[in-house]
Order: sequence, then C-alpha cells, then structure tokens
Amino acid sequence: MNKKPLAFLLAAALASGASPAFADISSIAKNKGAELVGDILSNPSGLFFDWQQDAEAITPLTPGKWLGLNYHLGQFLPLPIGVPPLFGFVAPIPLPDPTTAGNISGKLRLHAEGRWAPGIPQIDVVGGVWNFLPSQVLVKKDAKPTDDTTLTDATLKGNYWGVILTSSLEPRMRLFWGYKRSTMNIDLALNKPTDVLGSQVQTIKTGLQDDFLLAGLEHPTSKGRYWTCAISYGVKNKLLAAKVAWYGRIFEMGLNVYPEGIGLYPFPGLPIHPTVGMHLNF
Amino acid sequence: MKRALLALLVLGAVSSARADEGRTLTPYFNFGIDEGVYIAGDRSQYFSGGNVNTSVGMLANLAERHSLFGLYNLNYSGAGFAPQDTKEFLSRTLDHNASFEYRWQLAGPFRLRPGVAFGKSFYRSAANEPWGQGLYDTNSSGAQMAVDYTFKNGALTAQYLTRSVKFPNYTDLLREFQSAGAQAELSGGLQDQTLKEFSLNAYWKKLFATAKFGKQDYDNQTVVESNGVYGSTLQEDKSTTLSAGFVGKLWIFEVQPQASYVKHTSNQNYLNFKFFGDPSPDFVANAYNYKDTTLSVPFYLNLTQRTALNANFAVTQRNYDDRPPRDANNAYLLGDKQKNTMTTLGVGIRKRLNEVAYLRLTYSLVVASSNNKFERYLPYNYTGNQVNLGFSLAY
Repeated sequence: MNKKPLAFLLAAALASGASPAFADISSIAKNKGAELVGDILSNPSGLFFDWQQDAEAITPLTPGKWLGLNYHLGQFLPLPIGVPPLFGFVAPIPLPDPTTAGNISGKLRLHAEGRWAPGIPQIDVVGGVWNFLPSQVLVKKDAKPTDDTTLTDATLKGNYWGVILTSSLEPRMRLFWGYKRSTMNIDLALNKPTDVLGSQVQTIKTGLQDDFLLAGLEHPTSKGRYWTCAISYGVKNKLLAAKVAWYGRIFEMGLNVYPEGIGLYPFPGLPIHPTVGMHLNF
Repeated sequence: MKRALLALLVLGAVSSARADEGRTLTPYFNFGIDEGVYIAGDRSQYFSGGNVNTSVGMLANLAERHSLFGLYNLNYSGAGFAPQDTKEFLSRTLDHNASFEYRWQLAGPFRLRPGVAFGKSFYRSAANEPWGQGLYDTNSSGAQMAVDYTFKNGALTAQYLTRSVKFPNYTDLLREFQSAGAQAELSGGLQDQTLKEFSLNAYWKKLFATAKFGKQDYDNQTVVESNGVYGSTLQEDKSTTLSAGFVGKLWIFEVQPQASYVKHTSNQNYLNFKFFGDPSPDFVANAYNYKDTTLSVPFYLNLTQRTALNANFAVTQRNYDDRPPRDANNAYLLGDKQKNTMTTLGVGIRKRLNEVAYLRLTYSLVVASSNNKFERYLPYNYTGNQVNLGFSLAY
C-alpha cells in the first residue's frame, strides 16, 4: 500500500490544526473545566445516568439462547498503535467506572421467534441493578459536625428493566424494538455544610427516571460474533443515547454516544463512552 | 404502560413479515450519528456536539398497484459550527416527524403519492432552557401530493405540500414592551404560519437536480413599519431553491459535487434597538432578503474495498440585498451590504464495517468571515477546528 497519500493528509491536518484555536489551550481547558463543574453540580444525575446506561444490556439474546447474564466491566481507553485502521490497531486499555464494582444484568427469552405462530417476534425481558460500592469505604456514618468534612452517606445506585422484541428481516439481519424503564438514585450527605462554588451544601438527594423507547439492528459478522447498533430515546426527559457494539461468545465492546450528556470520563468534554463487558448466554 | 407494550408487540409482529413471505411488508431502517469536538479559535471556545438521525419505516403492499408507506423520523441536531445568521454554536434541536403515504401505481410510468405528515420540534438555545420551553418549539401538520414519472435510468417527481406550523411558546418582546399589561399575552402565536411548497426533483443516471418554490404566510405577525410600530400587513416570506449535483466514480476515485442557490425574500423589516428602551432604533427595510450560494465537493480515495480516505471542500456564501453590515459598536455601515462566507476544508477516513454500516473519522478546518463586525450575540468571524466521529447505517 502506498503510504504517501495518508502522510500528506496527516501533514495537512496537522498544519491546518496549527491555527489560533490551539494558541490558548490552557484558557480553553480552564473555561471548559469550569463549565463541566457547573454542568455536574446542576445535574449530577445526568452524569451518572449515562454510566448506568453503559451498564444496561439492551440487545436481544442471540438466536437459540434463552438466558443471559451480563457483567459490565467498565470503560476502555482506545490506545492507537500505529495508524489504525490502515497499518496499526487500537489497543483497549480497561478503565473502571462507577458501576464496575457492583453490577449485574440478566436477559430471559419468553418466546422464540415464530414459535407460537409465524410472525410473532422473539420476546426477551431484560433487567439489572448497579451500586457504587466503593463509596461505602469513604463513608463515616458516625462523623460529627466538629470533625473534618467527611461523607456520612454516599449511595449511588440504579436499576432498569425492559422488554425487547426481535424479528428477522433476512438471515443475516434482525431488527429489535423495545421499551425500558431506568431509575437511578443519588444520596450524598456530609457531616457539616460545606462551601461548593459559593453555596453551602450538606446533602444532595437526587435521581432520575425515564421511560425509553429503543430500536436497533443486529448483524452476525461470523459464527458466534455479532455487531449491533441501537438508539434509545427517553420520553420524559428527552434523553438520547446511541450504541454501536461488537460482541462474541464472552466479551463485548461498545461505543456509546450521549449527545446531550456531560462527558466527563473517560473523555472530558466529549460524551462518548467506549465500554467493555462480558456475558454468558445459555 | 400496557398500551405501550401492546403497541410494541403489534409493531414487532408486523415487522416480522419477512421478504420471503411475498414482500407484503418491507421494513426500512436508517441510522446516522456523529459526535465531535469543536474549538472556535478566536474565542477560545471549546465544546462538543453531535447529530442523530434515525428513520424507521414500513412499506405495506396492499395489492399489485397499491401500497402504504409509514415513516417516523427522529432528528437531533446538536451544537456545532453553522453558517452565520443561522444558529448559535450551542443551540440544539430535536425533531419528531411522522408521515403516511398512499402509493398508487397508475398505468404506464406514473405514480401518485398522496400523504399526510405530522411533526413536533423542540428548540434549545445556548441559554440551555429545558426541553419543551424553547421559544421556537413547533407543532406542525399537513398534507402533500406527489406524482412520479419514471423513464429509462431516471425519474421526475413533482410535489406540492402544505403545512400548518404553530409556535406554542413564541412571544414578541417588542410587542410585550409596547403593549405592556393585560395585552401582553396577545403577543403569543405571532410566528404561526402556513407553509406551501412546490418542488420538482429529477435524477438521470448519476445526475440529480431539484427546484423548490416555497411560501410562508404568517397567520398573525405583521410587518414592522419605519415609524417603529407594527402595521396591518401580514408577514410573507418566499424562497426559491435550485440545486444540482452528480456522483462520479473513476477507478479508485469517487467525487460527489453539489451546488445550490437559494433566493429568500420577506416583506418583514428590522428595528435595531441598541439598548433597552432605545427611543430611536435603526430601521432596516427588507432586512431578511438574501441569496445563499453553496458548493460542496466531497472526494473519496478508495484504498481498499472497505477503507477510503476522504477530503472535503465546502463554501457557503450569503449576500443580503439591503441589510448593511455593522461595525463592532453596533453602528450600521450604510452604503455597504452584509456578506457572510463560511468555508470548510476536511480530511478523514471512511471505514466500511459491514454490508450496511460505515464509520467515519473527520477533521475539518472552518473559516467564517463577514463584513459584519458586531458579534456580541452571534459569531461572524472566526476560525474553527472540529474532529468528528460518525457512524451511519441504512437497511
């Protein structure tokens, strides 16, 4: 392969990138950092809700399976080695997220496609829970107001359940539709009021619940390997999430995009979550 | 809840009528998303934004010459750079549209397509108001009639459509100010309008062209007069759009150039208040008459069957017929006409993931320039950089 065109284009991109935009990176980072802090404080639920959706298993059970157990490992950092995809590859470096330490999801097939009658789709129920277990390490329930500022409660948890209907469009393409309800709660308490950006804060009790409609396609790429894309829309809060995922017999990787999300981790300011998980299907 | 589940069950059952069962029902699924980071150079502004466009449809063949087509489209347009005078960097829209069309294949090459359409749009400005409270939220409904004429290697479509567009949250601050008190609420509904549009679309081999003529009749909004008050003439906007392009392929090279021209006229004028309560605002007649010219040339170099490098050049220019530009202090520069130009240069990689899906990574340099130097509310002159990751699928 001739590498010259690519080298030229990369050089052009880098040269054009040397515009005034990069002249004041520290100023941009400072402004964006302050904006992110403001976004998180005004809507802490939104930040964690995106991570909850990363952990949710909303794709249908693969054909022939009746039960599935999913565990969300967390995020991954895509580290380019060489110049992917032309001559190189992307190495996924796993990173934990708030749901990593305590989450489990399940899928149960209620009806295999066409079993009751021709045309009736596969019907799966899905659901799961998560809890930010490491927060308990930071909590001192008996802390007094005279002690140093410390957490007396830190509960971050969520759950979801839903129904997925799946129909074959052709042998190598399945369309799925569904509904899910996602719920999340955050309870934070300090032993005394603390100044946060000029406001005295001692407790934060918040949460988010939404009813999502979702649709997507599943496409097998080889034996035991699948590729899916799905979009979900939260009717109450007008939340959008898009997911592109690849999975085999055990591991699955995905790229989740939250256009209205806050985007703090793993990419500050960019609401794209590269996720990794594993599953066992029976 | 029960109703939602029942609807899903029915939809699922319907969607499972497969192609091998005589193509009674044919599904349609189109999905595109991109997300990117944007840096506006001169303003040290960094933000992220994305676009989502999903369509789900179903074609039902009722008889040999008769079919029904239903389509739902969800379109989210997020923060990003846009030609001057069109949107703020951080404004976003969320549109839901549904249409139902009856398709009647007449004898010979003609086909009739009467239909109805409904839409609900949400607008969120850079002020970040909650969804549903946008000044420019709309509800729309309407009907359309299309006639297709097919010929060898091509087709010609003539369509007439009408839409009633309501703005439930819109109000006019000038009117509220001038008619303060009990009359203030009457300022609502001023943007409500009826849109009528006639279009001709044609393609032949790899060439395509469109001609569109539209008219917006405002139900209540009247034209502001030179004495600073609204008169009795209702606002009326007209636009003519001409566009053409082609798809060309030669060996490993692929190019899809497209050009368009828009002429927009409005009988509405503009009052420029330099501060709240300005007793002598500037009056600009025909402030909304302009001509837009756009040229875009996407170029692909297909390295392999799955991977292509791409380069893109696009330029959009808007020339106002009568609106003068302003200096940095909001003073009109009489004798000149406002002119905006936005140029985009992009390079990237397009990767075909499988039979129906593509992944794209693109870097773009955006240069916006204008002789209008008043930029307190909207940027007119800046250099922007953006990197976008996109994914698209059509089945």
